[in-house]
Amino acid sequence: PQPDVWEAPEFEEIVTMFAR
Amino acid sequence: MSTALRLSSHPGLSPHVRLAFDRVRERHVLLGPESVLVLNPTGAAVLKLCDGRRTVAEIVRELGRQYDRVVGDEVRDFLARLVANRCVEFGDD
Repeated sequence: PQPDVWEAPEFEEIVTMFAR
Repeated sequence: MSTALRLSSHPGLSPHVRLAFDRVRERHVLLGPESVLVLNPTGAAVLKLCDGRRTVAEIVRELGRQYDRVVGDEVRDFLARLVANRCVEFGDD
């Protein structure tokens, strides 16, 4: 199995009570 | 209360935040009370390991088993930004 390719961890902020 | 995230810190999700999978975007998201953070795959992989027990160093080591390489500073910077966003909390020994 080939290892996954690393990329810098990132997040993009977007509004949630989605939770249900 | 700790102020600087270190390799020996134990990060975990804040109580008001949940990690979920958004089927529409096909991305993991962090659900907070007033915001949604869309994560890239490595971001999600990091947060799945943030259980409050593992240290940052252990998380980096564990990611190394899954990825071709891991940049520890990128993991720490990512978590530090989430701490600033109050999505992640951490303790120190």
